[in-house]
Amino acid sequence: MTDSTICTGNENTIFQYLDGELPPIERAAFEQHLTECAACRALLAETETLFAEFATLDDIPAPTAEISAAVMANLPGKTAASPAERWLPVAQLVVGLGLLAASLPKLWNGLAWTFALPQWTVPAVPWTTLAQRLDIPAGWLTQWATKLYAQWEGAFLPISPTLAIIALTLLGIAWLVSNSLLLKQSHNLKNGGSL
Amino acid sequence: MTRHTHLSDGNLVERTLAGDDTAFRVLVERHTGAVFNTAYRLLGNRTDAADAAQDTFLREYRALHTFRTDAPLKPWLCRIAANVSLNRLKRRQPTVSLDDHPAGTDPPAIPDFSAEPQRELLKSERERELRTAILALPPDQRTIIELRHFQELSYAEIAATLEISVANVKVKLFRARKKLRILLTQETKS
Repeated sequence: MTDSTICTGNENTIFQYLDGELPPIERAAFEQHLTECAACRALLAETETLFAEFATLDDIPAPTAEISAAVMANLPGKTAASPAERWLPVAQLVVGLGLLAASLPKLWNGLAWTFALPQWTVPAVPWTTLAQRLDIPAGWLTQWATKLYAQWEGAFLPISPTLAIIALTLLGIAWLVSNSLLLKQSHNLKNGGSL
Repeated sequence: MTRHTHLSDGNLVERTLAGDDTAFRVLVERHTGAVFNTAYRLLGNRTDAADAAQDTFLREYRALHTFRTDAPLKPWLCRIAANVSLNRLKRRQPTVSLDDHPAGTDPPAIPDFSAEPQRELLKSERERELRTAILALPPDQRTIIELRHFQELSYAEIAATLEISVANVKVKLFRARKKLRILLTQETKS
């Protein structure tokens, strides 16, 4: 097989030879053929050069930050939520409602105490005494403050816990609402939604 | 996140499966270059390649539980990227022309010839010819060239990736290379 025209069908053999995919017997036969056929040797050399050129193609810089951000923003929801994930909102709701329920009697007691037992209140320190202790000079501001302070006298102790209970209750409700909103938003994002 | 960067791909996969998305972010950042370039060689423009890279990682995330953590991750990812890109190519209009750069692809970038101008120019020109010729192949031939020459998969691995027979791989690869040789000859002459 020294005539190159006979070797026109060998291109595929050359490809498989270079790919290392020729069975051993065929490989040996082809290598024997190469020693006799200049056309196949030339084609082999040309093909080798072409294959080597693939390796010279440089990578281009990838927009890693953009791709990473987009992927992380679009991660799908997990197919099966873990038990902790499933029960967390329920647990939060139960705890929140429990706190609310526990605070209601206290709220009632505080209000009732304020209105029914004003005599239990501890008298506040008169403004004038306070001004003396704090070394505040007398003047129109002191007189005005004395009047204002006098209106508050008497009911500080019962009102303070009541206000505290109301504030805590409102805080609890706000916490529950904001938490449920955040959970909903997080669930949407996990499922490929957008903000 | 930096506390994860020293971990192996296998460890990061395990952490991701345990619910640690930060570990997945490290995986994405580690392999974006390979995935993006696989897509870029097949699709020919940066925008499509970035989209395909995103799709690849999202597919990976969904299929991560099927991945064997003792196997290398990069070839698996590049195969997904090749499949994602092939699907995109099939949806595209077949309007490839060698007169200019192929339709739907970016024009070749203007290289910096400041250092070793002559050698860089020649290399850049040959690189452009090669990229243009690959992009002028039909999608299935383009993909099979990618899998064989850039991912360096065996015939059996290509057959498994494309879900075709090994005999079919041989036929497609032969046709692709033959056509590529013709296209490169035309390119060089023009």
